[in-house]
Amino acid sequence: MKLSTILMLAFTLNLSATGFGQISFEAKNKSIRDVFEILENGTNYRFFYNDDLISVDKLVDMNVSDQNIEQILEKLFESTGLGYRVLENNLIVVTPEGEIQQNLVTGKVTDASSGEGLPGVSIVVKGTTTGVNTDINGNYSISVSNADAILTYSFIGYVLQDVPVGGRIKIDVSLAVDVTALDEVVVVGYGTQRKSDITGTVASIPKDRLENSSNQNIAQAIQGAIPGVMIQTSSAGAAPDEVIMIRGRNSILADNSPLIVVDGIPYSGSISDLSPNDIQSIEILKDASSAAIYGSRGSNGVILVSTKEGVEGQIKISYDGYYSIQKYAFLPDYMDGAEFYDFKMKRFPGALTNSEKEIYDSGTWTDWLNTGLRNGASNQHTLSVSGGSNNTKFFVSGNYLDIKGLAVNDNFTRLTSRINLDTKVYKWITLGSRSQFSFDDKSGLEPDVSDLFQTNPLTKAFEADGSQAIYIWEDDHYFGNPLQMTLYDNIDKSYQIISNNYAVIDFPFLKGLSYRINSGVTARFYDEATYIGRNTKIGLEAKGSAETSRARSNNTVIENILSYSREFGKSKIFGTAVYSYEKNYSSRNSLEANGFPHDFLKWYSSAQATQIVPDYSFSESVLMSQMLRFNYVYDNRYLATITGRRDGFSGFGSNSKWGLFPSVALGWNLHNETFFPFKDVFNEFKVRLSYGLNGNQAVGPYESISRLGEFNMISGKQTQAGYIPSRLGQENLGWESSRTLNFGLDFGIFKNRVSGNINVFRTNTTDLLLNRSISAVHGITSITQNIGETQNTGFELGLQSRNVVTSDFNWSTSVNLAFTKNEIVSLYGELDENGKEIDDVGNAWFIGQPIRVNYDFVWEGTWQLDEAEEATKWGTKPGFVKLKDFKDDGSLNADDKRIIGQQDPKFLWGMSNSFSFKGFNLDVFIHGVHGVTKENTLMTDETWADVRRNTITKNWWTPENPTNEWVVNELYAERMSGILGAIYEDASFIRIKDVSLSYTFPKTFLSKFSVNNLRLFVTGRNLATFTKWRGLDPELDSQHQIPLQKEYVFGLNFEF
Amino acid sequence: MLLLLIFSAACSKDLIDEKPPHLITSETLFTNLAGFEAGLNGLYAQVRREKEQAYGSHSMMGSMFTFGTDNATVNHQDIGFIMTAMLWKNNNNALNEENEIVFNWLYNVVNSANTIINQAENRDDIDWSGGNMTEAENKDRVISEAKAIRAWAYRHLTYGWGDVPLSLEQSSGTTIRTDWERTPISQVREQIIADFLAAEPNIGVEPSLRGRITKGAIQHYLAEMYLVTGKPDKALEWADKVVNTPDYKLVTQRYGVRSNRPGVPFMDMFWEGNTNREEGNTEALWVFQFGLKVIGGGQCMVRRIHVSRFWNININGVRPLVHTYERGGLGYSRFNFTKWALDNYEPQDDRFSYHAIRKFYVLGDEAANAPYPADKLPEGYNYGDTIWCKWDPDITYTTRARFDWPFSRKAEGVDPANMNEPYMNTDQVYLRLADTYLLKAEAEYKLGRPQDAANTINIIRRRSNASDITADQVNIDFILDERSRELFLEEHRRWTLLRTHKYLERTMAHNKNGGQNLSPRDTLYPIPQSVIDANLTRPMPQNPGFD
Repeated sequence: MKLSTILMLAFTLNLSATGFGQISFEAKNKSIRDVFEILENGTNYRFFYNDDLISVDKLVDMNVSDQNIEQILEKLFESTGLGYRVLENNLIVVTPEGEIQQNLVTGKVTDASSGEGLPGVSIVVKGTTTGVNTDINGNYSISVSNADAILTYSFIGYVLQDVPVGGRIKIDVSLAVDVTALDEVVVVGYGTQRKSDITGTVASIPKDRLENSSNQNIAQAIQGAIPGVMIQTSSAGAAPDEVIMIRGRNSILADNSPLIVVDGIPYSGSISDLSPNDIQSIEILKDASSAAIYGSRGSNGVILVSTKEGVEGQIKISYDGYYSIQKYAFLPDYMDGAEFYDFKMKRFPGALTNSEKEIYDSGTWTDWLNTGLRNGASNQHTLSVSGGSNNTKFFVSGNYLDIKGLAVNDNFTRLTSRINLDTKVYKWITLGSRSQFSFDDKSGLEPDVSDLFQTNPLTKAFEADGSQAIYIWEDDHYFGNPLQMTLYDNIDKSYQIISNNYAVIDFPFLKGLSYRINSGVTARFYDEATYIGRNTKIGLEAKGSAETSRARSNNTVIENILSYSREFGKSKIFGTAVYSYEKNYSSRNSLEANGFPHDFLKWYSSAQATQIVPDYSFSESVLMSQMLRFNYVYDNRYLATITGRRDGFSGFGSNSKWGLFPSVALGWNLHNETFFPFKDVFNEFKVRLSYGLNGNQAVGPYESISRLGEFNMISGKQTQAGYIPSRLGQENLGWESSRTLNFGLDFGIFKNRVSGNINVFRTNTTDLLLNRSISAVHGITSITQNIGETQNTGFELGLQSRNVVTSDFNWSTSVNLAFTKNEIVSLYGELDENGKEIDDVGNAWFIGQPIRVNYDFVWEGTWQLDEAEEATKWGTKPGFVKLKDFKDDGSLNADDKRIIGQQDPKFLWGMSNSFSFKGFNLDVFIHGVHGVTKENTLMTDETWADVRRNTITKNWWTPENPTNEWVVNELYAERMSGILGAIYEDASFIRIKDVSLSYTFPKTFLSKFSVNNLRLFVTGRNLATFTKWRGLDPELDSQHQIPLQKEYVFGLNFEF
Repeated sequence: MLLLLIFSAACSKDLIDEKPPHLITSETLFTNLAGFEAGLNGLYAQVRREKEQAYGSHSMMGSMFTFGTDNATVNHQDIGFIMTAMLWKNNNNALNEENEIVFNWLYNVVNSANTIINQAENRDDIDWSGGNMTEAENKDRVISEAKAIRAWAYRHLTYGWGDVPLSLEQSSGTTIRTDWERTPISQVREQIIADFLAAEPNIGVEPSLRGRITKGAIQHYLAEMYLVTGKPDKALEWADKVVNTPDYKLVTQRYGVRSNRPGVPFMDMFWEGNTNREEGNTEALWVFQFGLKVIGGGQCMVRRIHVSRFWNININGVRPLVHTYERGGLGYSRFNFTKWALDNYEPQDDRFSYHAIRKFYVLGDEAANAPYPADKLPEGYNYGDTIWCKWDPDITYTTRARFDWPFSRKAEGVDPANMNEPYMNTDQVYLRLADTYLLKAEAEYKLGRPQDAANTINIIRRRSNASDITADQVNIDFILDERSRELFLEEHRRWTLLRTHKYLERTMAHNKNGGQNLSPRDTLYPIPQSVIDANLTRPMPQNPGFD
């Protein structure tokens, strides 16, 4: 029944008349349709009917005087097969006679606050697949088969309502904005909780950032969306590396990345293997209390990812797809052939070789970046089907991602498919699975971009016949072609299976008690092979070289979760107990072979190679945990959570394997107190306080064991197996512990026109696992120890504001910002004569300073002509670098080094603005990172002996150009007293990360095609960056790598 | 109830115990003789690093012992010690990475040796059986080899850095020290001598495995240690023990792989296939083992460091010379002869002959160069023509980067199939009898027996057709000149000059690209800043002039 179409047309007439009366009119040879029109013109009645009804075109003669409407219609519909029903407001619905028996419910859905009609609200008869949407004015009409049916009204951003029909034929509903989302259920780890009951600091990724389906991975969706979560793109390319850090750097030793939990199971794979389109929600646990349930794993925060599940009653088929083109955002200005020639002639003319001269004279130098970079492109397609019947729900999806990166041959293909199933076997037992298969293909090697940057341009990339030159520099065979890797035969594939399965048993004998067993198995297989043939320098010299390897990594998790949830009067309790076991295993066997008889068979002929080196590597670790959590809520006002977790990790010393991690958190929903005086302003006002201890294992297995490393010898050309001490272990190596105190405030103002949260925290991490540099006299210069203490203090603010809310135009803004101050509180506890703790200068760790600082000599400028005399005393001269002699003792030594800024940002922020007008939506997301100082490694003229490498153009010092910005173009000009002066720059930046314009077709239009949703979008990524940084990119780690890309994405989603 | 259930659940201790099947610890390795042999192999592989990379692929660990002296100067500059040896002054500083790398490496050797010694001496669960020797002999030999190597490492450390911390115990994770003290050099040298003396009786005249130290090498080092500690009588005694060992004989006749080609006896021992004792090198006391594309083969840098960039010689816009096996392979010419070192020979001296020092190249056509390509002919040249090297004027800062500078053919050696191979596969003669003769001469001279010294020196000179000298010609400078002629590229020239207190004088006189920048403080290298910084609880004094 396309009744809604007619209804919409009907409502376009302005009918407001009321009152009943007897009717008179005459009609000769008119269609029934015409009679309706006469009646509508002369009375307050309006007729609704389906245009497809042929019977309404039947011609009739009518002569009516002073009859009521029933009498008239009775006569009019005689032997037409039409029936009717008169509704409230003089609406008359005309249908074929049989259908009139159904209950037809009509009504209007309005916004509770503005009273305006809400278009696009979904109305479903509960337990069926019958559903309609409201029209642009909020009106709807739906048939229900029985008068006891319940209608579910739902609309994104509004509180869902279930309304029993109860025999009514007109139901008007006003939906309240779900701004506080107070009763939203949030995944909190080993269970879910109502948001209003949460005591810890849990942040959810806004839905719209997840639904921006041009994300290649979830990190892109998280970046800048949550205060205190830093995502850094540390390397670009087809499969970029994203570093995630929550609330700053706690640990000095490498790993500060949070634990990622997918569907309840710790995830050990790469985040790039999760299709963002499969993700239902992402929650981030930031404070000790919320993360404490993950004990030893939680000190860097926890990211909880839930994949989509089917919704009962609605079969949804949806497609998301995009195509994008990529271009580099910025390239440093490396010298071209002519500039390089000038540079070399000034610096060391004797070193110019013939072939360089020839290429210079002929002007045929190579723009290496041009040969190795290209415009990238990517496309992604996701098809998913979800739905469910009474006892079983399913979500099935397939995703294909194909990226051609900016560097030639840098390709990445990913295929994932997912099946999520939940089924209630009996009333008391539910089984389910979250399973994914993914396939990654990174085959093909891109050129070494660092080489592309730095290769001498006075060389040739290709021979006359178009083949790649093996030796690019006729007079210097040291150099191979920086493009040679593109000629390697390369396989780099991996296959991953993740299967997380669960069973939930709700014990019938004790209400609220349930047991859940999770089993997670991740298996990843790697298939890698490279053959370097004689068409490259390396292959030619090695007579063919191959490396092949197969690897397997496994992660097995078994979790037993017992939970008890019950309400007693005003009290709600929720208890959780967990016993879990996790094992990580990896092994790899590989073969390296050199000296092949020919290139025909590549690695397949490894057995015929002259040198064959097999290898086998292995690693295994086990983590066992016991956890108890107890939540208590009294009267929705007072909230408390107590958690304790005990973890045992195989990698620690035999006496320090186990750690205990307790936490406590309190919350107070002030707005639910009768005395709360600002109820008219604040619809939510919740304060939270938490304190707890987390651990960090921070190290891999085997670190506590002193061991020997392979160091082989030969004798008479025969291998003699050898070992040397390679690592010092500490028997008592144990957990790193983080104590976090968090004060939080969640608020909503004016019915959540403005809502937000504020968190202030302090984390003290003790027993840091440090790779501490020790005196070389030990023969080994580093040892992993539990030492010292660091402190992170921070302030985080998240704000959402709906600036303009009208039926047509909406503008909302979301801002988050975080300040983090990181400092080393203590190291080894060794005091100097003044009682002040001694810094560890060797490791550049200073008490009271951030963990990662730049510690170096300070570039003061350039020795100028009028300082020649002073320069001579230093054994240097005008034009050369002037490093600051802080001690003013005429020599540069360790005491003249200074801390030059910190390497982790002090301040991060993100702001998104969303404008919508009718179906159009414009989202602009800006991200800022401030307070970072990094060495600009491009700022150097160290071009190897005899000027054999390229560098960027600079403002070189000359007597005529007495700049302090850079030095003269001369060997050792960057050195003073043999010390290379490094340039440190502010790497703060503000980046327009995403600008996305989308158009969503009106439902009323789409419903004609049985399409639920159709959205087209264009997104621009990394469109502009504002920074003082002069390197490749302030965000990337290395400045000699594939540049960051600007990306333009064109995509569409539809659903039916 | 629940609490009890969770927290008292069996901790399953077994499940989280580590029993790594793939790792080796000193407890598991040092349980029998084979384990100790593997430990010694690792130790010798570390020792061999002297001829391997130090700072990137540019430099060599042993450069700091050998170059920047009166006979070896910087030709192609770069970084690390290569730059230091040219510029000295503030460039020789505590932050210099190569200085740190070399210092750290030597203590790495010390710790490996200490580990073997401690394990062998202190454990009673070791199965020492094996080979033809008794268990006690096996044990003594293992300890002795490790002690000899420890002494070898401290010898370098004392010459290089003066007073150095003396560590004689295996390092352990639970005893990290932040209060190391610099032991006076005299005390460290006492330990060196004690270790060599303890080792000497248990080490054979022939190495226990090709590549290992011999009794002769230990005796030689004892002689040198007694010279540097001012006991020439003892030095003579120990030098004589080496010289008088019948199995150690100077090579005076042609032999081995090139014996049917033109050549001189002096050079035969440096060709691949000839360097080891069992290959005919009766003069060898210690030979470092290298091999290309063999596991554990090492990466010998000597050629790369020294051989000239003849391939860059440019005549009228043409670079005529290709790489051939005969020309020895790819070199980067970081350190070359000083002009003085080349002028130091008599013309007829075999050690100055074309067979010992590359002084010209003959342009080869395809047949002559086969299987390598023909040389390219500059205008006016024909195949068969000779391109001469020059060593005038001297290498200075402005004239450095000379492509046509002569080089010692001791450094030749390349994989015939790959002329671009960066490393060499030639086993390196590390210590040989001729050096002992010259130590002996030095001891004799110090003891006031110049005639004996002259006689001893003449033994060496006659082998190479140099003219005999007389007693009145003998003085310390002559001995040093002779050592340069005989042992260029082999001896630790800097150590020799420091031992004889001639370093500054001679280097400043003869080394024109670096010598002029030297000052007295440069007779020691600075203690690396990282070592000073890591000594948190006790200030470690820096060498004078480096503060």
